[in-house]
Amino acid sequence: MCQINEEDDEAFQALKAAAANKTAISRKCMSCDQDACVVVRIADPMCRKCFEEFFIHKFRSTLSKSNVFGRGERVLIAYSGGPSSTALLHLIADGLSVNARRRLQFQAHVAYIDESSLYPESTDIRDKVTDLITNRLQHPLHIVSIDDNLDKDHDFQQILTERTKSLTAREELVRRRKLKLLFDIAIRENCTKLITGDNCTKLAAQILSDMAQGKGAHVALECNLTDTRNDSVTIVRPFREIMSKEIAMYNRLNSIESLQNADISTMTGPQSSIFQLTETLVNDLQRQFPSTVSTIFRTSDKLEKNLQPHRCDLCCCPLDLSEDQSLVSDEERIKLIQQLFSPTSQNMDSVHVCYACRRLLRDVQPISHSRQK
Amino acid sequence: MPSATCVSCQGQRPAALVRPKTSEPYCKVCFFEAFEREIHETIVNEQLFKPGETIAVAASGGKDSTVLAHVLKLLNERHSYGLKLVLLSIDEGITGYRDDSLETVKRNQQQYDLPLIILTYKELYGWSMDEIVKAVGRKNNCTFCGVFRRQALDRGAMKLSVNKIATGHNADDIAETILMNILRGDIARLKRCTSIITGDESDENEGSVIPRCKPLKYAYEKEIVLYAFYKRLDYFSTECLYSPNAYRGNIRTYIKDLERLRPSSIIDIIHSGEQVLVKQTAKMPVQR
Repeated sequence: MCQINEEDDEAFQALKAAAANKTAISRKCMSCDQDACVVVRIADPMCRKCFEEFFIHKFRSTLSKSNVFGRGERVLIAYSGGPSSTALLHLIADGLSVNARRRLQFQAHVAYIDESSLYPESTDIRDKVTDLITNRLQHPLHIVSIDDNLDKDHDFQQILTERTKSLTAREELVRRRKLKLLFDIAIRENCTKLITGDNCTKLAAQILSDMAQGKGAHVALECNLTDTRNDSVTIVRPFREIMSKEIAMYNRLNSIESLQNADISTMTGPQSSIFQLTETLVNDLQRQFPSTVSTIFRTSDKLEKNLQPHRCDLCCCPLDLSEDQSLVSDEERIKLIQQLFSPTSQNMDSVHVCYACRRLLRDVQPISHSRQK
Repeated sequence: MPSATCVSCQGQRPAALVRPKTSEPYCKVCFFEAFEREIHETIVNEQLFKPGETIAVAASGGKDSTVLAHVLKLLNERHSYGLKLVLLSIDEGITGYRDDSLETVKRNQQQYDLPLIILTYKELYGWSMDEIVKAVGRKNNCTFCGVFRRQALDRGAMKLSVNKIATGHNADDIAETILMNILRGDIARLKRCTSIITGDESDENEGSVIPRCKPLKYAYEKEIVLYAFYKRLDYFSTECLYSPNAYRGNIRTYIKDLERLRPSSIIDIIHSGEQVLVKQTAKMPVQR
C-alpha cells in the first residue's frame, strides 16, 4: 500500500474520524421522529411502523375511495410471481382477515398463467405457486397454461420464435394473450373483477411504450383504477400510485419472497425491445429527475377514455381507426386472432383491430413465408 | 441479400438508398418523387393553403427550413398553388451559430429568388441570446429562446403582411414534443402540439395571431437529410451552442433508438398524440 505513516498523517486521521462519526448520525422519521429505516419518494425518511402504515393506507384508500367492490363480490387476483403481485396477495390476505379494520368484503380467487412452455428449462413453478396460494393463503387457485386450447396449427411457442421477428412483437403478443386468458378464467369462475399488481413505475414505462407503438388512444384506459374494456370483467389496479421501490421495501421489511420468474425478455439487454428501451429511459430519467414517474402518471390520469363502442378483436380496447382501415383481410391473420384472442366459443364474421395491433400483426409472418426459410 | 432494385419503378433504375420511413430500396428519382408527393398530399388533405395567400417560410438556414423552402417553391409551381412565398429569418444573437447560418439564408434568397427579411432579438427585445445566457446560466435556455422566437416570427409576419407562416417542423420534432409534454406534465401543449395548423379561426385561444402550419409534419428527419444531400441543397448544419444541456436531448436519443428498433415508431407516436383526449375536468393553465 502507500508508504504513509498512518499515525503521523493528520489528514488520514481526520478522514477516519469522520467515517466513524457518520455511522453515529441517523435520520429521524418525518412523522413520528423515531429512527428512520427507509427513504420514501425523494428524500422523506420514515421509520418502519410509519412506512408500513403509509403503504397499507395508500392501498386501502385507493380501493375504498372509489367503492369498487360490492359485498361478497367474486374477484380474481392475477398472480405473476413477481414482487408486486406477491405483495398484493399479502395485503389482500391482511385485508380479508377477521380482525382487519374495515375488512375487505369480496371473495378472492387467484389465477396464474403458466408460461413455462415458452422456455427451454422447465421449473417446478406450479408447485411453488400451489404451495403459496392453496396451502398457505388458502384461496381457490386456477392455473392455466399459456397455450391453453390452441389447435395444432397454432403452437404458441412456434408462433413466437419462428413467425414473430421482433422481441417487441413477442412481448406484446404474450401480454395480450395473458390478459385474454385471465378474462376467460374470470368469466368461467363468475368473477366480475380482475385485480392486477401493476405499480406506478411499471405503468409509467407502459404508458410511454404504448405511445411509441401507436396505442395513445388507450393510455387513459391502461392507467385508470378501473378498466372497463371487457363488458363482463373490470380490471382494478390498486397499486397504480405506489412506486416499485416502495413495494420492494415493504417486501423486504416483511420478508415477503417473490418467485423468481424469467420471461422472454430476460437477459436480452436494455435495447432489445420497445418496452425494455422505454423502461431504461424512465429509470434513467427518474434518477436525475425524481418526479418523472409521478408526472408521467399524472399526465395520463388527466386523459379521457376513448368512447368508441367498437372494440379491437385482439386487445379489446376501443378502436382508433375507421371501419375499413381496421378490417383484417388476411385469412391467416384472421385465424391467428381467432385462435389466440377470441373469447372461447365465438365465431367472428369480420375481424377488426386497432392501430397498434395492426402494426403488431405486421411483425407476425404468415405460415407459408416462414416455412420457406 | 435483399434485392437492389427500386420498389417504385421496379427495376428501371438501380436502388441508391433505403428509405428510412419504409425500409424499402428506392432509386434517387423515385425517392424525390415520393418525398415531394407526400408533402403535396399533406398540403392538400389538410387544406393548409388557399390560392392567392402570401406565406412566410420561417428560414433558419438549417436543413428543415432549406428543404421546406425548396419543396414549397417547387410544389407551388408544379401544382399551381397560387402562393406568394417570402423568407423570414430570426437572428437570436448566438455567436458562432446564428451568424453563420444567416449567411446560408442570404444565399438561399439568391438561389430561390425569394424576398427575405431578417429580425433580431436585440432590436425586438433589447437582449441577444448570448446576453441572456450570460445572465441566467446555461440551463433552460431553450425556454427563453423558443418563446422569443415565436413572437419574433409573428411580428416579422405582420411586417411582411403575410397570411400564414410555414415552419420546418418534421415528424421527429413532433414526436419528441409529444413525449416531452407527457414527461413535463404539460397537458395544454399536449392537446395542441399535433395540430398541423395552429392559430386559425378554429382555435379559440389564438384568434388574433397569424396561423402557423407544418407542411413537413409527416416527413422523417432522416429523409429530409437524404433529400437535401442528394439534391445538393445549401444548408448549415451545426447544433446550437446551448443545446447539449437541454432536456430534449434525452428524448431525442430515445427516439433515435426507437427508430432503429422499429422505423414506423415516429409516425406511431404521432398517431398516439393525435388520439389523446384531455378530460374536460382537467385543470388547464389560464392565459393572463
